Amino acid sequence: MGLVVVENLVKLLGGRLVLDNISFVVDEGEAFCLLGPNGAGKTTTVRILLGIYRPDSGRVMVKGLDVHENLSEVKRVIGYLPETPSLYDRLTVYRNLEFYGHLFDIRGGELESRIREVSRLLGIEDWLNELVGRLSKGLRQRVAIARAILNNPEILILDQPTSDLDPGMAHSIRSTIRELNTDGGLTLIVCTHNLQEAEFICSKVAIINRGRVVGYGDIKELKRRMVKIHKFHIETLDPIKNKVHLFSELDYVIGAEITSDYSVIVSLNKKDLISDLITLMVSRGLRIFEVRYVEPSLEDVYLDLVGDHGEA
Amino acid sequence: MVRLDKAWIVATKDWEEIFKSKITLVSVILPFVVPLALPLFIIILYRYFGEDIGRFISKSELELLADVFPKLRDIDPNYAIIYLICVLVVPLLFIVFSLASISIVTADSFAGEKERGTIEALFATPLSDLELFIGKLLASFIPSILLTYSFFIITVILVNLSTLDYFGGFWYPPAEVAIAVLIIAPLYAFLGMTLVIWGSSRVSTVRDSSNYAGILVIPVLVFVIGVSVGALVISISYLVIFSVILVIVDLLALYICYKTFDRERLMISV
Repeated sequence: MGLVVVENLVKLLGGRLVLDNISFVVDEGEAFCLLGPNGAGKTTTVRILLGIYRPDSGRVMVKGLDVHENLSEVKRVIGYLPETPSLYDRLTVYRNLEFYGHLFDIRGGELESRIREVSRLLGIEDWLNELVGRLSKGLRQRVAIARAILNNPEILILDQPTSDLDPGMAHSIRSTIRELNTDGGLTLIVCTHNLQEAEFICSKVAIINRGRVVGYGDIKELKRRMVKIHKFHIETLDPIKNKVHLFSELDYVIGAEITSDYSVIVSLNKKDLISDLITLMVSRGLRIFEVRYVEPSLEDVYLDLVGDHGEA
Repeated sequence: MVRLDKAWIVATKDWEEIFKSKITLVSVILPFVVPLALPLFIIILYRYFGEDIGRFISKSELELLADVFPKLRDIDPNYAIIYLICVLVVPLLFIVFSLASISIVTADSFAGEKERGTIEALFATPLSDLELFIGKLLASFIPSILLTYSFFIITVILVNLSTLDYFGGFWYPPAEVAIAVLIIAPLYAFLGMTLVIWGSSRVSTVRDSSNYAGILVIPVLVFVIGVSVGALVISISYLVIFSVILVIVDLLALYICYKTFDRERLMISV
């Protein structure tokens, strides 16, 4: 049984169906991504998981416990970084961490050493006495992550952890989050619409669109399974630029993009038809230098399932 | 089981936040300067301009007011204005400004947590709804009651010291004033607080939620008009009955407020 089991969640908010039968499982030690466009239902799912919202039907189990029947126990094993700022600007970094520590019943020396530990881990030990309101966005996000792992959770839920950050800071935060999983063994649930982030941090994904899970599984496996178009990068020893008509004659070639005088990227609807294409090219006097399969990206899967405006 | 220590943790955090905001701090404390300064200002005017000021009230008006404040008959008519300001206006100002002060603190505590987006992380901690609710009540009510009592004690001392020669001893506060400021003002402020909490789950900004208590100023104005035209009589027994009614209304409002305190509703209205 998974560490987090979400079964047939249905949720209406303001009379609108926000979650329509959502199910997924997150195993221990996994880095799991809830991927989808804005308004897809990711945050609502997480809020149900945290007991903030009640589902209209379905259930969420954490460590075998029903979340809504064992709220207090479940919350002790979860750390949460909401999308909105979760810190008090008028208080110092230390006081923010101390406050949350107290709410999780961490007191005295134990709290002091835990604050030092998470501060070192997130690189914020020099800012402990600074008011949160005076910190940069990146530092603030580090403090918020420190706050989320202060209670030593088994599961860390992060909602849009790098939104609003510049690319450099976003990369740094993503690396830190990934290390929490790879080195710290934390089970991660990351909500994002950022494909780069999803692929960088996570190994498993549930793609959500309009409240439904439209794609689910191991990211590599999903890419293999879902991609219907196969791309090959072909390099030739003879000029290919004037032979582009060759590809348009073939019904199994969906597209051909000339990238230089001696290279082309062709898209096929069946992977094994590449041998037919190569045979044909050779028969037409084109000497082949190299043929490379272009690995499908999560973006290809996402666009295939969700569409470019989240409307597939 | 409700953990009051958790509620206390929430309350102390809120006080730290509120009192680190100079704007909030000034908005909460400044109103109380008015009921403190007003009687002193009138007394200073007496000292400078003599008893002429006392003649602003005619004999017939004094007779009318004496029906509401019988003690006016026992004091020098020249000092009637001082007496009326201290006995009628000051307690009403304490009631109104306790209400204003508690509205600001409660709005900052409840709607402020929503407005600043920190409530979601708070909901993800093992804090129960009741612990959070009690914490927020303490955070709002304790500063308001402490400020009301502190400023009233200072007012009492200064009024008595500055009118020793007029009234021949320590005369302030009469029992009616003590009941009004020490019992009715906190009870009325408590009612205002419940309205702001109720309102906080329906709006998303501090400003909007603090307006909910504004409605309670209307009964105070009605009371002032009622007393001025002689339609209402102020007596200890009436004030005690009013206090008991307020306790019942407060408890009822608190119950409704807690029953409608809903995480989901709070989050949706963010």
